[in-house]
Amino acid sequence: MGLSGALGIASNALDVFSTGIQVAGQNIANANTPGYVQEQLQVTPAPSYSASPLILGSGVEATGVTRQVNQYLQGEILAANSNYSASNALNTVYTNLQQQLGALGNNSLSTQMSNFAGALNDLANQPSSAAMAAQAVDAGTQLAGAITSLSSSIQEQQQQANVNVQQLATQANALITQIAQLNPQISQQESNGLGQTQASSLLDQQDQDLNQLSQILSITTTQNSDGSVNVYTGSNYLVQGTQVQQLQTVPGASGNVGTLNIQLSVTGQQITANSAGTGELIGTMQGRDNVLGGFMQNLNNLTSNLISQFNKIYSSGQGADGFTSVTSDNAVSDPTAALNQAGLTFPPQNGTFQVNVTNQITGQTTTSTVDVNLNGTGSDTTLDSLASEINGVPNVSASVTADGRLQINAAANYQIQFANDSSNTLASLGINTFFTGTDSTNIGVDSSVTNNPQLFATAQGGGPSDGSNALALTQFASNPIDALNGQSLNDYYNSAVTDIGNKASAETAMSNSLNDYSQSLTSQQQQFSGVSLDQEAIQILQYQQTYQATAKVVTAVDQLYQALLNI
Amino acid sequence: MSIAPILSGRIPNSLVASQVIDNINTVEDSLNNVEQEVETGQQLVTPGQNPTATAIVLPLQQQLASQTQYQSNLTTDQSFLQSTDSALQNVSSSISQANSLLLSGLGATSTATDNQALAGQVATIIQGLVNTANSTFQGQYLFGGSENQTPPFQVLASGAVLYNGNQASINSNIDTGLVTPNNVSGVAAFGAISTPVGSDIDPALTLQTNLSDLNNGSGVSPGSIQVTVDNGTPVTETVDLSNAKTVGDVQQLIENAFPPGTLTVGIVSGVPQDALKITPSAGTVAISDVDGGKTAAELGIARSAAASITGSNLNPQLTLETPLSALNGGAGVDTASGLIINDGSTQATVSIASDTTVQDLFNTLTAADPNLDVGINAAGNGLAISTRLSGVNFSIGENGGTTATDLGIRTMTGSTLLSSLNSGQGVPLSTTDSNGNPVTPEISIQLRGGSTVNVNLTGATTVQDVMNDINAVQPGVLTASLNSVGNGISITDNDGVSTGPLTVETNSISTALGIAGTQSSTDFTKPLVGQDVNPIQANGVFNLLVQLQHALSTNNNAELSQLQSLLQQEENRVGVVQSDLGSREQLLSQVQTQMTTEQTNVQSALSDQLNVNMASALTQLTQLSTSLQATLQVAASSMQMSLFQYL
Repeated sequence: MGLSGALGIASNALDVFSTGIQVAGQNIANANTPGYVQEQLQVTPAPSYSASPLILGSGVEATGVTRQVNQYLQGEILAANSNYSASNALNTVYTNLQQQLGALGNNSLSTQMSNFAGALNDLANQPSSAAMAAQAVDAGTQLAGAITSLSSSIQEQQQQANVNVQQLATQANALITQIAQLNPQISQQESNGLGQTQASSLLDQQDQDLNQLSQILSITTTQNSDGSVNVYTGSNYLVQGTQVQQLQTVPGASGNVGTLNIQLSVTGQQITANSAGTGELIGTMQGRDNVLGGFMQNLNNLTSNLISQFNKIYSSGQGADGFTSVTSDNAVSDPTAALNQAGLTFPPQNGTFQVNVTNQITGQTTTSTVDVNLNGTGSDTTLDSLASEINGVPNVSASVTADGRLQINAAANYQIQFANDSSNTLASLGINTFFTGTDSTNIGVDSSVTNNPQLFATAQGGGPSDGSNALALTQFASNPIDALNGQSLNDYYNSAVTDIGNKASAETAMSNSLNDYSQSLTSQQQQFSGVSLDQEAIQILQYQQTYQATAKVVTAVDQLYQALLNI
Repeated sequence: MSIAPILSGRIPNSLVASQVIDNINTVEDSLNNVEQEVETGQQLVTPGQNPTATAIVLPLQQQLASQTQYQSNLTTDQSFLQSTDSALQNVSSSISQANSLLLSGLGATSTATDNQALAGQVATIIQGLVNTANSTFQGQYLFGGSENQTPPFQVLASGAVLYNGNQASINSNIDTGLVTPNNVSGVAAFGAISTPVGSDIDPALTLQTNLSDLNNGSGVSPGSIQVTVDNGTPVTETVDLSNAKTVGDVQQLIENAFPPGTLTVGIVSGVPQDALKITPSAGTVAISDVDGGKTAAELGIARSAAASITGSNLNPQLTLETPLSALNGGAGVDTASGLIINDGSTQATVSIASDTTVQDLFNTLTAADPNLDVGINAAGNGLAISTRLSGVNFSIGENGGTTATDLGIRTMTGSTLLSSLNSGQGVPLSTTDSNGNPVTPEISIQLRGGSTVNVNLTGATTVQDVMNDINAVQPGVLTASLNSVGNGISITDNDGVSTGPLTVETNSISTALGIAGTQSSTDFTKPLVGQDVNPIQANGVFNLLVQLQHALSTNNNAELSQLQSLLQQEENRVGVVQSDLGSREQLLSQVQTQMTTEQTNVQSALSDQLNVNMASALTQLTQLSTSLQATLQVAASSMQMSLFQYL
């Protein structure tokens, strides 16, 4: 009490004020540190004591340095980060896909199909021209090449997505570990019980980690009373106190390309493209499986219909040259099984086809009809029975090779051609066909035609300069196809591309609005937690002044002591 | 990018900084986009930018590509047709030349020697016309049909002209759904083959007949039928015939729908075998269509309950693989006797004993006479045999049997019109003479017994009418029939007794019928064999020119006069061909003009969607640059404000 009391108060106050300036200095020093939450010195008047009859205060005391953070906003920000990251990942996939398609430019798949149709038209106009036949074969080869290259670049993208999944999982694991490590450190520092405010720099770091983690995976957090934090994704924990789960990559089931999904290390819960939740991880998986995978399905559908429809018309035509020997492109799984149950991609039906055998010396042609009985009544035609039936045609021999293909040979000085296949057997086996393969990964052109374009089936029975088959083939991209619900190949392509466009456009809009939302939350948080230099400047001025005032108090007390001592 | 709601209260520096960066980025991003647009001239680069526009653009691009192709087709086709046109000009001029040579030959002052010289000139015209007919364009012979890699026409040593091409069209797409030929075959232009001979030979139904060849080629709609067998309790099955391709398939599918033996499906047994017959082992059978289908009706078997169902005539088409035994409703043909082909200098006796199908027959015929054109007639129910030689006589006759008639290809039969005999000169059966006085058209036959009978041929129009008239005179004794070998009318006088000569007196009618002459053998079974007065010839200019050459070199005035009118007709025919060609060329240029207009429309529609409006883009560019400048200035000033500056 009295002067010593005043001195005591003054010395406390000087401590507090210099701490205040220190805190302000800390804030200013970290004004540009990303993720830094501004600190404030909490001061309260020190407890009063009784010096009867007076109750006197004992100055000021600093109760703590607290972080200015809005917990509710923090949770919202985590969710918004995840949503935006997922949408952004999808957006990127769409952008890359559209670039590869180049659908509106001069090198699209549609252009290649039009070019092929154009070459076929030229051939139909001048069916006897060897140059036109060679050009048609070239254009077809180019189309097949364009399809396979598009297909493989999409598959590459899918592979890249797998690499990304791997990398994101590694990143997430590192973050999870770090968050868990910070937990005990934080609870130690938070022993004052002021709730999630003391261990500022550790908490800042943990918040940063949580932010980054939320971008990868959608998470929710709960706070424990000791200041540590639990992190959950969906209903699974990632961090519980010091317990963690790691993300492991496991192979998935879908598609041509191996897919990688995520599995949690302890609970075994899988995270796939179909999981609820957002974040770049799920976004990448959705991009890989739903967007790229979905488009691959469409591309495969388009290609297999291209192959089967084109070959159907082509295989009933004749070229300027006939075959001396031909082996089917496709093999059956079992030569004793009925042809429509023998593992052929485009199975044949009940019907007949004609084999025309031409004597090269006399020029005479003999036509024989081969029956393909697949009515389910009587004995169905198998590859073995087909071979023996064809073998019965004069000057022709047929056999089944060891790997399940049909081989047909003409006798010396004879050539074979085919016509009028109502059973689709020739297209199905790959005899006298143009395209080989089954889908966009393996479409090609039959090597016998590329080696000898004079085999190109331009005619329908009218001799070497009949162009009727070539004329029928010119419509391959615009004929309605039953398997595509009456759409033509062009229509199907257009709707697939437009669909991508619609989805991409929607995703871009979604991504933009999520970005806006996320940004607005962040700026609100900034308003709470950001360092305002002006405010800090005012604080420093205040502390400075009160420090100076307190110093004056000390001076005054000192002078009074001097006066006392000089009595 | 974001306009975040600012809460009232503090504005930390980091917030100011991030907002400033955001604003600058936004403006620079827009600026960059507009710069890209201006540089490339394209405002729509990816479908995601504007899916609605994409849905419009993609089909337009495809349409433009096909239009460009059509234009190219049109140009190619036009050049082919133009070359064809100029070649045809030569034909008219050659005919005029030939005509004047003919008139000179007919002239009173012209001698045999003069006419020989004229014949030589005709030979030159023929050679020149053959060269024209062998014109090429872009490595293709114009007049060969689809056989256009070798010269279609050639002059043989005998003077006849042989056509090695066919009648096929080379068709070309000139617009969506519009296909036209870009060639004229040698047959259309030059009449290079004879009118095909071949009548309806009623091919029968076999198990191998394709359903698509039934009903004169219209086939059978795929679908299901309902079959009900009632033997006390009706059992109904629906049989799916959509995968059936042959009559045999139909048989199998219907029979297998019921327990074995319940139903027998086959072809009716008696001639003509052209319908299905379905018989249950017991009870009745009824067949109907399901769901508005037409399959049962088109198979001719939609019937109410009956002890057996006999279907309707299915009119199957003749195909290369139709067995000869199925011809004539299943009665088959005489394969033992063979037939005789006369084609210019070729005379071949052809045996068809080893032929089983129509294709075998064709191979046999072309082996015997390589200058034949063999095929199936347009109606699809018979053969069509022609000669590809111009300037010769062609005929197919019997070899002691009925082979040629059974195949429907005998060139002189009972139904041959008298007016077409002698290359269209016919038989002079007029009932008035040149002065208008009434005459009776008749022939005089001196019988073996010595008596003479007159046969009145008034009103006879066909060869059969003539034979009937002759047969009516002494039925059973005096018989007229077609030659057993070759072609012609044979007359037999067999009263069992008389052995004198049988003579038909020569007059214009009997000469025209080819029966003028005497059979002096004492064997009364031996007929007076007539001549083939119905030789077939090719129909065009080459035939006439070769005939003209022949007529001039043999100084045959009668033939020359006949040729005069024929040549005139041919000139008219060529004129028709040329004007037809002209209208095809017109069609092409019409389509081309239209196509060009459409292309322009499509291109401008595309441009609207794809290309950037340069004026507005440049304006935007200016605006954005200004905006960027302003943003940067504001950023600079706001970042500088701080209390520390003033302390």
